[in-house]
Amino acid sequence: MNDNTLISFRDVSYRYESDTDTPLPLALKNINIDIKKGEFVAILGHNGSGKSTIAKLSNAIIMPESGKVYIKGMDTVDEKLEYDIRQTVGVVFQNPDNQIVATIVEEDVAFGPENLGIEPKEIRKRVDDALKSVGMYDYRFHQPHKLSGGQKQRVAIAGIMAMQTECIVLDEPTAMLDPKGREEVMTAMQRLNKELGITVVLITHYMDEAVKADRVIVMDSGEVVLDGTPREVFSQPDIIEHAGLELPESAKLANELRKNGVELPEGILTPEEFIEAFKFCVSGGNEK
Amino acid sequence: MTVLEAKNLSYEYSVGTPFQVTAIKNINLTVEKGEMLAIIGHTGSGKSTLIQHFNALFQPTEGQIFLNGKDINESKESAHAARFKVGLCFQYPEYQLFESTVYKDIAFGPSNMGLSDAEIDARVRRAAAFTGIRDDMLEKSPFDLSGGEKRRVAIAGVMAMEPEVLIMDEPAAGLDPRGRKTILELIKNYRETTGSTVIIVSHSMEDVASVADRIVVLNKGTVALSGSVDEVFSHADELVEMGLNIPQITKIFAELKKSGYDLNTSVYTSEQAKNEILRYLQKGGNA
Ligand SMILES: Nc1ncnc2c1ncn2[C@@H]1O[C@H](COP(=O)(O)OP(=O)(O)O)[C@@H](O)[C@H]1O
Ligand SMILES: Nc1ncnc2c1ncn2[C@@H]1O[C@H](COP(=O)(O)OP(=O)(O)O)[C@@H](O)[C@H]1O
Ligand SMILES: [Mg+2]
Ligand SMILES: [Mg+2]
Repeated sequence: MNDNTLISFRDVSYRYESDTDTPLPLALKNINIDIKKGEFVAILGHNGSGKSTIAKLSNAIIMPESGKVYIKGMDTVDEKLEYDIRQTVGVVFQNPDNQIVATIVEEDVAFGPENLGIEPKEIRKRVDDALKSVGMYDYRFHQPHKLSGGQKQRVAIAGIMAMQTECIVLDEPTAMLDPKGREEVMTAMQRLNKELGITVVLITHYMDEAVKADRVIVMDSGEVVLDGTPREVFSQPDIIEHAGLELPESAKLANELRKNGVELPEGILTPEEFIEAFKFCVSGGNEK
Repeated sequence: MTVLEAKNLSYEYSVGTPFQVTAIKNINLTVEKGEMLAIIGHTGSGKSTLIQHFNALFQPTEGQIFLNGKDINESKESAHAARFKVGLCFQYPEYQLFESTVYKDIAFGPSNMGLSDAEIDARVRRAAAFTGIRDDMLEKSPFDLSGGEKRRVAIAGVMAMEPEVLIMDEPAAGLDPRGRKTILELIKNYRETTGSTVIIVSHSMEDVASVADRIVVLNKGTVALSGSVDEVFSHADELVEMGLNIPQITKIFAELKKSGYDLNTSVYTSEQAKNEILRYLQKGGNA
């Protein structure tokens, strides 16, 4: 672990409490993850693979059964550090309904920074900026519970953005969104990361979102099975398949064509890359 | 033959308050017997509001709903009957499971229909088989199942009512890729085996393309487009304007076509795409 490490999981195992005498199986099995400042990391994995458990451990909502979670070197089991940890890592949880606390959108977004004791003028600015970034500024006086799922999700994201934590963990923020909503959230996240240097951890089921990350971690049944750049990770179709996932559409198509003898290069991930490779492949034939 | 018809249908929420919203406005559409219809639209376009009219959960502010030619809101009885003839599976239905066993949860719908115990049992078992719920799971608590399994139990509960029309609001939302595929397969299989009419609400263009016969696009509470999958996806720019999209694969083909490659652009899955490219290369598109 060096100075640049923001989140560090050291041999972390976690088990949920059982209602009966038989203990539940481990939800996380001895996992090691280091996330560096400024990274944009996507976490993929089948339903139940342990992704949300990682999110909860990152912000001291739950503690490891064994092993350690450090946030900028702060041990999450130390209760005195809870406030500092939550000011460093903000989490947008899966179901936005559970996160809405106020009756007006802008009050809801102001809730986090108010709890951090930030002065009103600064809060005003942060709330407006955050709502604009997620495209919800026009709804600032609306009642959150009457918004659509996607709109609620964006309000929840604005709430965490307004806290200006160094790191934001988002648990499937785009699951309920339409294509435009998904793109808006992705763009907001990328801007936060590139322009403000905020570390982003994005939990998602969408492969095309993972392709845009710097790094992809794949979970399978409580274990980390892949960890690398999108190109490294998606060059392992067997592990991806075993983990219940699939390749990005362009990669899948390129693979299938290669199996049928079409000479396309390895490592195609995006539509742009596919188009370029296809044109090259076809023109290569012409020049013969 | 038309099963369901919406005629000049409008609905407003919170009438008479400062928050009055027109959710859908003057909608006209028909659903044909046995078809798989997809309703797509941006979030807030009115999809969930619309489908809750089809089984009389909502009463229109204006307009009518006809089921087999009869206005479903004509009487209390007809509205009640529509609850069972049109089965509605809500978004994230697994949050509505509440019985102590999977069996009881699936049986809940049919047991309100005045059927014999033997008939209820037969229906529960048929629906469980359709959704891939094994016999040994029936006596488990639904809370001990995985997310994908819970979703299938909730779907089985609606299928067990054996409705004439099955409506599913975002049935694959939030599932991992394998879970999505499983759900879509079972819906296709259900339709093919029973010949029932199925309406699927979705904003995943990939999912819609893989199952639907016909698509209706809602935009801001009105019907903006409707037609076959090919027809609707040929309006790519308009779809994007409405907050939607076309499948990624289709975009690749549209792009290649623009660059002068003579490819068929009615391609929505990587399987179709592979076949089309192989065809193109074989007929001398040279490679
Ligand atoms: N509150 C809980 N009580 C008991 N088991 C749980 C609870 N939350 C999650 N689990 C179990 O822990 C495992 C990991 O869950 P989770 O981290 O939510 O997975 P994911 O977010 O990848 O879908 C799963 O087997 C799940 O069923
Ligand atoms: N309970 C409600 N009260 C007030 N407005 C609502 C309610 N539910 C939905 N709306 C509004 O009605 C419109 C259509 O919503 P909905 O039918 O849920 O759309 P979709 O299912 O396409 O996302 C939206 O503007 C939404 O904000
Ligand atoms: Mg989760
Ligand atoms: Mg809806």
